Formats: sequence, structure tokens, C-alpha cells
Amino acid sequence: MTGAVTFARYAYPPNQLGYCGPDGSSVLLDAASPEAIADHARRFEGAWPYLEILARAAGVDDPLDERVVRAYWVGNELLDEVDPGALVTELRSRFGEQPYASWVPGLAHHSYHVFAVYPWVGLVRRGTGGAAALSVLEKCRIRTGEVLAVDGETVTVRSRPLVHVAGRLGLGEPRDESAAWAAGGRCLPGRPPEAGELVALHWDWVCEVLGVEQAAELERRSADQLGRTNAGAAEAAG
Amino acid sequence: MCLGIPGRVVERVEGFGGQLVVADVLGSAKRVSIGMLDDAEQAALGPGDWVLIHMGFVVQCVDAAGAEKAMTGLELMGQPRESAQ
Repeated sequence: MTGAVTFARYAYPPNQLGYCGPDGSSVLLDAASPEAIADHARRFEGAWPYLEILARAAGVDDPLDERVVRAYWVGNELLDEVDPGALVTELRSRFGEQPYASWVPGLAHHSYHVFAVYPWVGLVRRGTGGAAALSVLEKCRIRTGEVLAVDGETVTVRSRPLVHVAGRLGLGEPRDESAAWAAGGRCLPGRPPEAGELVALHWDWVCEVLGVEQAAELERRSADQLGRTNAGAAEAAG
Repeated sequence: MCLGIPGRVVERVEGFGGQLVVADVLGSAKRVSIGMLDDAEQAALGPGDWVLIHMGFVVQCVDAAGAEKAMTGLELMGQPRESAQ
């Protein structure tokens, strides 16, 4: 059941904010109860369809299989097993109409939900969302950071922020930010991160300590989706 | 809620630059921001209007049919009206 624990590490930040999933986010901090986490995970109406699609592609019955979960949040070779066009067709049928969704063909990756299904890219482009919409995109996407310092239950990390320049989304110059890795002694990434390590960030949390290859995979898959989103916008603009 | 959810405006909130309204979201009164709407949409918004809400922001004004459609989509994903939030 390690997939359930991995799911919890990435899903907790928006769940505790009340943005995604059911009430009762604290269950996600209890790594010793993977069955309870699994029950909670099934009620994430945004993430769960992706996990089911990826599990089907992997030929496994469990959407919380570790390889499936990791494909969705971080990225791995399993993403290449899902046809981008077929993904769009299935997600549209499951999610229905979504305001400002672009539905550009993409990967069954969390970045697809952020940049193609959520309304925030459309609101940035529409011009009414402004900095607030860009901020939501920045915090909602899973991004990498390098730990500069650890202070209690928070870290200072260096990461590249999302920017919107000349109608295109991209990454800006590195800047420092703070993120939590634990709350009340309950640790999200499994162990305290250390200075110099790479981590995955979601909202204002450290979800996991990443190896170099994992971080590169997350960045590559995220860049792929950003490219598809920018290309889709350019095409729509004619 | 990882997807847009319909709500119905109950009242505008005094202050806050006119950027907040109270909306009935599945029976619960929620304060939400209308800062993502353009000026004309903000000015026109009033009690009884249907909106789609995402992470505490109104992202789109819809009619009753649009709200029903969004609700139906949530139900298809196993979020019955009484437990969706």
C-alpha cells in the first residue's frame, strides 16, 4: 500500500485547504493507515479518474498502485501508455463541462488537470484573473525546489516560479520561498528534508524528497504540458 | 473540490472593495470572491444569480441550466448533492 501513502503526500496540501477531496484531511497524515487513506483517496473527484485511467493502461486493478500514483503526481513511463486524444475524450465524458477548460490533448499527469482542465489558465489569458489566477496555478502545480535551509517544521527552498509573459506560460528566474514539511510533529514527506536536497512542492508544502532523476522527470513532464497548453492557446488565437 | 461547483448568490458583502459575495453552495452559505470576473460581470451580479465556484473564487456566471449541468457532472462522479462541498 505504498501507493496510498504516496498519494497522501501530494493530496494533503489542497485537501487540508478544502480545495480538493472530502473532509477529514488528517487521515492523509497517518501513513500507518493506508486502508483509511485509500478510502479517502477514492473520493478525490479530480484525481481519481486519472488514476483509474493510468491503472487500466498499466494493466493493474489498483488505482493506488505505486507506479500509477507516481505517474500522476510526478511522472514516469506509464504516462506514455495513455493516448493523449483518448485521455481528453474520457476526461470530458467524466468531468462534463468545465469553465475555461482548454481540453488540449495531454498526459494523464497532475499538470494536465492544472493547466488544461482548471479554469485558471483561461482566467489568466482573459486578463480578469491577473496575479491571483497565476498564483493559484503556481501553488496548485507540483513543482521542484532545492532546500536551502531547514528551520523547525519549515524549509526555505529555491524554485523557479510560473510566469506569464507575452501570452505564454513559462518559468522565471529562481527565487526563494518557504514551505512546510510537517504540522504539529506529523511529517508529510516521510522524513525531514535536508539542505541541498530536491523536493516536490504542492501549495505551501514539501510533499516528498526527490532524487535527481525523479525531479528531472517531474520537470520534463510539467514542461511538456506547459508546451501543449501554450500551443493550444496559440492555435485558439489563430 | 477539484472541479467547479455551482452556487447561488445570496447577497453582496459590504466592504472588501465589493469583491465578496455570500453564495449558497449546496445548502451552505460560503463567502466567495468575485475578483476573477470582469467589471461588467461584477457590477451585474446580484442575489439569485448562479455562478460556478473554484477554490473560493467565482470563475463564471451561468444560468440555472448551466448550474444544473455542472451539478449533474458532479453526481456522475459519485458526489451526491448532499455530500459535495
